[in-house]
Amino acid sequence: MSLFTTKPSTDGKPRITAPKQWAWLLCLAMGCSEDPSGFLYEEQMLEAVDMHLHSGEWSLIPPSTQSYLASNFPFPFSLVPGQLAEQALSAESIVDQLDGAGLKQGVVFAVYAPHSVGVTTNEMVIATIAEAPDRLLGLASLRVDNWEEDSESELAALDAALAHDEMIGIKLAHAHQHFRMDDPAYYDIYEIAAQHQAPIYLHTGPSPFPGTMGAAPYTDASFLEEAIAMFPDANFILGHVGYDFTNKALGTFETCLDLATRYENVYLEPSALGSEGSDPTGENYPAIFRRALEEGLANRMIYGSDGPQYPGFLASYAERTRIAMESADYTLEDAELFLSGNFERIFGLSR
Amino acid sequence: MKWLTAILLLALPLQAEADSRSKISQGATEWTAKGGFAWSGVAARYGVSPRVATLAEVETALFVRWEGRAGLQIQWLDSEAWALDTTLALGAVRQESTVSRQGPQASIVVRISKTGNVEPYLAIHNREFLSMTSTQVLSEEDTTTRWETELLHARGGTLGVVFPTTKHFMVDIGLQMGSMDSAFAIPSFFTAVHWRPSK
Repeated sequence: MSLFTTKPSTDGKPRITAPKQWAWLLCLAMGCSEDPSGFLYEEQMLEAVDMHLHSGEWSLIPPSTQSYLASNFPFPFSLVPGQLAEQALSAESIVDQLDGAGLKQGVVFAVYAPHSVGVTTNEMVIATIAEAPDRLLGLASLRVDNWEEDSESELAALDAALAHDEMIGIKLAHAHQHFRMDDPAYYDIYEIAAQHQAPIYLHTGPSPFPGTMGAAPYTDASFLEEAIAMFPDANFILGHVGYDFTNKALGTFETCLDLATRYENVYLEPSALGSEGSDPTGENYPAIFRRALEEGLANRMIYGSDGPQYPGFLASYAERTRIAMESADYTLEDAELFLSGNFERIFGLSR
Repeated sequence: MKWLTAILLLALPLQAEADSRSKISQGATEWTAKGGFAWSGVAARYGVSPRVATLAEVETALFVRWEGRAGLQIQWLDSEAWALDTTLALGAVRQESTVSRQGPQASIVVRISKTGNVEPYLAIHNREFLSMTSTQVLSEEDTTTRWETELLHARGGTLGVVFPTTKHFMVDIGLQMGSMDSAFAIPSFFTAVHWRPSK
């Protein structure tokens, strides 16, 4: 998923739902900040990092996706969505949401998907992080839409972006960027990841955004297995754990679990799918924690929200996460690993 | 202090000329200008019979969405205690934004008010809007146009109060809640001025 992720309702249209409505009103009226005191779990304050956030510019999102996103804004803000979106995507607003959710840090993604969710350049992410260097980190990315001609320069640009200390990994979204997960032409990206010890975040599962590739080679993590096996020194984070956002179902989650079970370099990040819009019954998100525990994968789960989406989203997602972990009988130790421990370990960040 | 004085003056229930706040007598005209968030607009009413008035109205939300309509207001009840009327109108919507919309709209508003010099009211509205979108497909052979329609509703209510300020002017303050285009809308508020020149 990406900027201001919206989940379609049963009729396929994005709809803003009741808790969102009041979140909008409350945050607009009173602001969303709270003290960044931590993530409360089992009466303990835990450190938490949100590894999946977006910044960017409205003008760099394709018109069809702008329309899709604008439909998620309540009237009358839907009439002037650009201004509101850019405000929400600013460093100040992101940090405000981190504070509101009790999160220590957030990771902002670069995105190069000009035909689907838009573009947030590495330079833009670096500039965003510079506004709050103690709270934000970044994942770099690269264009792949003219790969035959531009691969060398794009890989060099990725290499240069990863030279920045605050750019700690790579973001790829095959479905949004229109390249197959099993196409060896792109495996040099994983080579660079291994060289930099930079984990790779990969979007998995079908996405509702206009211009997205929905076929299995772009969304099903089983098509990543060859690369995962070929590059054991690169860590692969399976974003959204294969969740089917179109049908609000677990999708290829079991495939992701299977890969994580069989490969030491596979991690699971259940962002966005736990929101009220994507998991309206509230059953899917806890099921993911439960299955991860059953498979002994608590040390592979990493927290992310896919925010900022709308005012108050990060706090809402953190609360739904706490409920899901409790429902799945996550221990304090499991929760600590999920919220920050696993992230800090694979990204090589010391406390 | 000046503001406080102005507010007190506005709140002072002066006796306005003519009918109850919602009713307009035969042959009388009322002009209205409205400003607020998110809607602003102008309207006119003309009493064609003791119980029926015609109306025309243009509204805009943030000068991006425009709605125009014309219709009839029928007065069902105008007692010393209560007034009840229904407004039926047909019109069109045009919205030029990231999400563009256009198409015809039908509207019904039922309004009940406690009659008096200061007149609180509740108006329930339902507007059905047939959003029409055309897509042109350009090919080497020809250009085809495909129309898609979608029925969208705006349903909700307005709580307001109307009170006179001078012989010919009334002020109307209201809070509107409900949906827009079949989705949640942030509540809006407005202040309107009604002018009823002498017949």
